[in-house]
Amino acid sequence: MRPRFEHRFGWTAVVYVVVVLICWGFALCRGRSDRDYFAVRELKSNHRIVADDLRWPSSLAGKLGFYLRDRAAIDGKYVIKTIPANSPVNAAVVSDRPTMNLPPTMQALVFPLASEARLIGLLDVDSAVVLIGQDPDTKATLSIPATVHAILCEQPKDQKEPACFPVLQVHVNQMASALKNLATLRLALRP
Amino acid sequence: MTFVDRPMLTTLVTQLQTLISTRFLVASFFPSLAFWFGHAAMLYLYNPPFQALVRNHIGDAGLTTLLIVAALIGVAITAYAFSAVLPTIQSILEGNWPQSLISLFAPSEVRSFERIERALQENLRLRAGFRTLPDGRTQVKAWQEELRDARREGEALGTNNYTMNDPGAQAVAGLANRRRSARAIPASEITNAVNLLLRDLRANNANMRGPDNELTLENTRQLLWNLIDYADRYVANQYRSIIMKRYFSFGAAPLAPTRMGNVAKTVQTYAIERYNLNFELFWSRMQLPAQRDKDFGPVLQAAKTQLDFLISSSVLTFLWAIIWAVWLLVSSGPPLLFLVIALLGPLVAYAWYWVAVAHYRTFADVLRSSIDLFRFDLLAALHYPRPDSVQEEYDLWQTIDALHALYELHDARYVHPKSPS
Repeated sequence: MRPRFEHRFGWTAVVYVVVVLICWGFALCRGRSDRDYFAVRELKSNHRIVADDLRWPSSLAGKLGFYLRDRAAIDGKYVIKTIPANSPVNAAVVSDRPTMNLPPTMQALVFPLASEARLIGLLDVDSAVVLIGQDPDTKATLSIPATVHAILCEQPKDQKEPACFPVLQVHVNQMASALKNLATLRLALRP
Repeated sequence: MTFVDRPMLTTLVTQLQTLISTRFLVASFFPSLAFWFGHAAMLYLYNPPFQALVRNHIGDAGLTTLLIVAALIGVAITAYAFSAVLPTIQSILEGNWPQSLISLFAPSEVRSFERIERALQENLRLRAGFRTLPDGRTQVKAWQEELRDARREGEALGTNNYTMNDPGAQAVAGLANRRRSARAIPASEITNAVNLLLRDLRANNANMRGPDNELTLENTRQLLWNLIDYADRYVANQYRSIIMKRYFSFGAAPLAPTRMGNVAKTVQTYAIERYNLNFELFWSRMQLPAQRDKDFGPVLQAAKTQLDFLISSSVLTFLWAIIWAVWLLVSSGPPLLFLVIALLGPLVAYAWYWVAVAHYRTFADVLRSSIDLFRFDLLAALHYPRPDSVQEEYDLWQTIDALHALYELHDARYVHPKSPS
């Protein structure tokens, strides 16, 4: 009777396949590497996600950028609910549009930032701002306090960078004045 | 502007071809290019930052060209390094391993060798039935003459009661089935069928139609006649086939632990057994006249290039698969992808290896041809005289081998070419 163990290469192949299957089972049990980006700081509700908000996972694969989800699914999207620092950020916690639930005494005002365009980089959700100007009829100085509700952006066809402008929460009592003088009002940061 | 500046790429490739041999391009550069392209493809699929980098720069023609040129230079450098280790890799594939590993894996090859030996013994047993008889006739001739004589005896009778139900017809039909399934027909079965049919031929007139209104007896006789020829040719051809397989697959003992190693050994074995020429020692010297030949040189070069290409492809496929299987396991990559790469990668590499082994047989045959064709040129180059007979040549190579390989001092006559003056 010829001993079957003479099929040395065959047995080597069998051992290899068994090892691979064991490793596969181990990989299945262990689960996948982190595929989500992580928040580098707390990201408030309605915050529009930009590159600086995110970091790669700290796993071996993550540090080298392997297996990460498509950033397009979260870049430029709005945080639905505040995300604590070092928490995963994925498509489930962001939305295409900011939520527009305002307190009953406040109203939303989309404020164009033509001359103060560089200010947009300083603004974020809940930033305190003030709209300053002069009423052309009464010549009275206007100072309307507001907070940033969200930052809206759109991508012009001929430009690389998106054009962004803030959506402000303005008290209902001052809304009429703000709308009336919108063209002359300027935006400043409030301490 | 196109994606790649085409004239520039063409110029680069042309310049590469002039600077570097075709063998390097085919055997090392292209497999290395595929190897690195495979890595780049995996990075593109599973590393989004790399994918973004590629996508962001793909539109910039200048930068793209620069990156491609840099990548090609990188590939060329690795290919050059790979070509340097290719002989070592080939040596490993030929089973030049530590003795403990050889002892562990050689039984697989020995088993294949023993299978051929058993087939050869079986063939010898079959051929023994077709031996030449003491009266000088072959067994085939004897059977066919007996059938002819018996038919003549039967011709004197006026009846034919032979049908397909007769034992002789049944026996011949059994032999025909063996031919139909491309099997050998043992002499013992032919003898049995011949004896049965001899009795029928003597008792019936084969020229007459039988009860079934057919010339069944004559047809059966003709069929048996042909089957005898078939059986004789079968064992003779099978013998040649087994011998060729034996000498094209296995060299002299000890056997190598891999099939490629055993195929490689066939060349040295042929050179030793046919001419007593130490091929391993003299191959580098013989390459010069062989490659100089305008007809044989390109054939030799092409065979070697193809073999190197197949070996490179096998090794690099294996390397690529192992690298990614290990990385996917370590980095908690997609488990299914790990399974597919870990199983299919080595399988594909093994397929490349088997194609390489099959091609090695062709290459070994080219080498054997070069021994047959260029050994006298080698003698001339070494300033040794051309032998006048087979035995003289055998002795001459033994002397030369002793001088060159064993450093033994033997006297041998030199022949110097006459000066042009």
